Amino acid sequence: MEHAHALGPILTARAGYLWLIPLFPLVGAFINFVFGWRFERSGRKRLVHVVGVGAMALAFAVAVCAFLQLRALPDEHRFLQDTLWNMFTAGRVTVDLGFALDPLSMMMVLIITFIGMLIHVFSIGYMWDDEAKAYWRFFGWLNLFVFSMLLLVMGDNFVLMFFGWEGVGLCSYGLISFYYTDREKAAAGMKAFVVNRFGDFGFLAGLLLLFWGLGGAWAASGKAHGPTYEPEAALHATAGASTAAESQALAPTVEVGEGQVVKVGPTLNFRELRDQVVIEKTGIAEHLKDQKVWGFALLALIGICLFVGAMGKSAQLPLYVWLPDAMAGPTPVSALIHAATMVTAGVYMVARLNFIFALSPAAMAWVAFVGALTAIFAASIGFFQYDIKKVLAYSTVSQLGFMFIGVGVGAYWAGAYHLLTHAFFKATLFLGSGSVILGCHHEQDMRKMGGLKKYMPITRWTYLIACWAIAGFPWASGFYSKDEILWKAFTSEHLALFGVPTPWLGPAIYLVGIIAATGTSFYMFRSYFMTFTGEYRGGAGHAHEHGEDPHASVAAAHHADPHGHHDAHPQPDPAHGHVHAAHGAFPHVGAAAHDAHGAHGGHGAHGGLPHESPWTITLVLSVLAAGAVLVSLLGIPAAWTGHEPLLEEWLKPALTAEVAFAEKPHSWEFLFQAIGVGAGAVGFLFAWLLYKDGKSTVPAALKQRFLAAWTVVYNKYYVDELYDLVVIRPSLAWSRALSWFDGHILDWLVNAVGAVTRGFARIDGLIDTYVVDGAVNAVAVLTAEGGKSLRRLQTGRVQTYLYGALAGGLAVILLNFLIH
Amino acid sequence: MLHVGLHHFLVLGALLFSLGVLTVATRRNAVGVLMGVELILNGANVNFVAFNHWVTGGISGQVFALFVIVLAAAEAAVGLAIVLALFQTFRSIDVRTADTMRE
Repeated sequence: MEHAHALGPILTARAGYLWLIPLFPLVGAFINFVFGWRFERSGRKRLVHVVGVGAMALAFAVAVCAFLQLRALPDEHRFLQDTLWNMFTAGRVTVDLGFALDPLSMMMVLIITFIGMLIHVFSIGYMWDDEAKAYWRFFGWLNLFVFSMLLLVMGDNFVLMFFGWEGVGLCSYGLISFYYTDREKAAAGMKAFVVNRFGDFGFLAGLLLLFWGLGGAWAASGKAHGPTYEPEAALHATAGASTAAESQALAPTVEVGEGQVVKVGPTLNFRELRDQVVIEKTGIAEHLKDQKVWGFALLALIGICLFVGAMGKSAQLPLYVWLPDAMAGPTPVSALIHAATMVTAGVYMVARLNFIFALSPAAMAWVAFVGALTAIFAASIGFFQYDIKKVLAYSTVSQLGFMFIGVGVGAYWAGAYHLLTHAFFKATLFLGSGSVILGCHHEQDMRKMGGLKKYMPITRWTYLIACWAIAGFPWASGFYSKDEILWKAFTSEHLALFGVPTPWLGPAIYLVGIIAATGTSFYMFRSYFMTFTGEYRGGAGHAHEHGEDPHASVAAAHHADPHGHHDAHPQPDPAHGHVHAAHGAFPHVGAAAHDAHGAHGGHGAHGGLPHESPWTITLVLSVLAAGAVLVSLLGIPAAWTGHEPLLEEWLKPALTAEVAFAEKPHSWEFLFQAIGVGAGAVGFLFAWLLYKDGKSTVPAALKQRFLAAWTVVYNKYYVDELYDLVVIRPSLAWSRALSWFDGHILDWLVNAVGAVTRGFARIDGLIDTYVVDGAVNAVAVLTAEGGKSLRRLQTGRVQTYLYGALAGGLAVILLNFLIH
Repeated sequence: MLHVGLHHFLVLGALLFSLGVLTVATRRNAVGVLMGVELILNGANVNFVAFNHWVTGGISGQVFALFVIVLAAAEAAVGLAIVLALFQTFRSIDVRTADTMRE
């Protein structure tokens, strides 16, 4: 594609302290994992969170220093580099333990350390009295997660990124399965891990394809686009290098003007990759475009494979299934890992490799297409969930879909901006739900909440602000990022599904996106109204249903939602009340027992009124809610102010890929913003009418009317059941068949060989015993018997010998006579 | 009239020798065995003397006979000593008891 202005190689600035940023959380994790349990047993539990939060605060402080240094540099020079040592060198590929910060990864690092720190603080209040009694383990995993995430975004090469990629997966597994004694929760962790394996396979495949495309394939195609690069010679030149210096000296380079030289050929380093692909003079981009693998364009294949990796990590169709189940982990985990940071790794990766994706409109079209599908699909599931965390989980999947629309249509900065705003408002929502869950004594079912605005004012206001933001109303951040994404989608001219330019795709994605945005507004305000307005419905040992009769869903015999299990009992109402009475029969502690520090006992007790959470929680909620509003300042659209949004300007050096967008007048943009706000308002209005104060009976009536459709959506379109049928059962059957094959055929073969060998051995043994030993023994026996019989001649009596002598003498005489 | 010649002596010597051998071979009494040895030696002596008289002349045969007599005396002394040792060991002079060499 044509670059409007020629791009040069990235100029780097040294920042020898970058390694400190990931180091602090790593040390924190180490201390908590190794000594944490001792702190906790010896009554110094406080030390655990001092270490955990302290590590985060230090990391955040260093990140702010790095930000200040980066900001002071001129635009094209904004690239901090810190190479610690060479990890390995093979031929012309050198992989360093090196950290790099460009504007994009800087943004990520600030999100991770800042929101991570707040969530650590939140966890103090949330996990202090946790039933698992493993405060140290929680903080250890959390710190380790932050370390892995920082490695993912700061690593200057694919190896470190992949290391972080797998590291966050591991920590996610450890934290989802935090309550590992609960079989279901442990299984949820496993599910997340296994589903992510599928994605990781795609990521690795894409990475290797890219590596291959840059490397040996040169020689095979016999074409070189660069002026000086001779692939074959280069291939041989560096084959013998074994140290970084040698490799550096031998690496093929291209002169790109002004005495600047760019290293070309296969590399795992992001900066080297970016330089050779982005700078036209090297001819690498043209070369990559020519490559084909089995008739598919190499670049499209690379993009799609990498996107499969993103699908796994960022929970897109069809690999999103693990994220809702991941809600089994403690709520701060859901906020940090499954909303703010880890799940955005896929978006980050696509934005990081924007120059690769931009070369393939087909791959980008797929990214945007899948993102749009996911956005609306997940939003629709969110409509009817009763578990507050499940609503937020599907909302997260849906919002990630929006981010992929952004990076897919080429509005990389908008995708990254939505990542940032989402990190704030979704963290607020999740932590708000955590506060609600804590306040309602570990109740997650919204049908048993209601009226909480009276009991939890701070939580209520922060939750409302975050709802405002996610629904896309002005002055809160979600509006700016979502509308920018949808606007860019509408004007996109870059997409080409199946390699054919598809100008209709952009508007189609816009349409899907705006419907999804309406749905987002609806389900978020539904959750708000169900939770915070009306009368409190929990704790009385009596299930007062929220205008919707759960027994109507008896038809939905089986579904995965553990909190919906009462639905399956076709009992009359009084009996149902008893079920809850039994449920609430745990020893419970009254509201008086909840002191300001959130020491709250009686887990599982449904007794007592809800209460506001301790100050650590409300403080964090307030800061995050403020952030959710304030980050909107970074993205005020150009149509309003005349100059481009701050974040777009900031990210420009990192997101160099240029993608074509249609030029439309500002008036259009205003119109679309108005449509966006209108969509949010429609969603809000429906939620208001149907769920405000829990008085309306319309939801129940509507549900009765469309029971079949409701059941399908409520059960998440039976996707889990479908996977069970299509993936899990066949693979179990296959493994059973293999097990049978192993047990019957292979074992039979092995046993047969064994039996035959044993038979031979037995015959051989017989031969040995009877033939060989027999011969030996026979000789011995004959000798012995001979000796025994000859022994009798030896009487020991002189006279007998004399007879012998006489006989001998006589014989001599007789012979003498005979001879003569 | 009976003419006593060489043959008679030789027959006598052979008889003595045979009787001696027979005695040595069959007697169980060790002293008897020794006496058989004396008979054998004397049978040989008769031959010496007879051949000396009728065949060679001179005295060498007779001297041999005298040597044999001395030898027989020495042999008897040694033999009797052995018999005494035999008796002391086995409390018997039956030659059959002295069969410890068997096996």
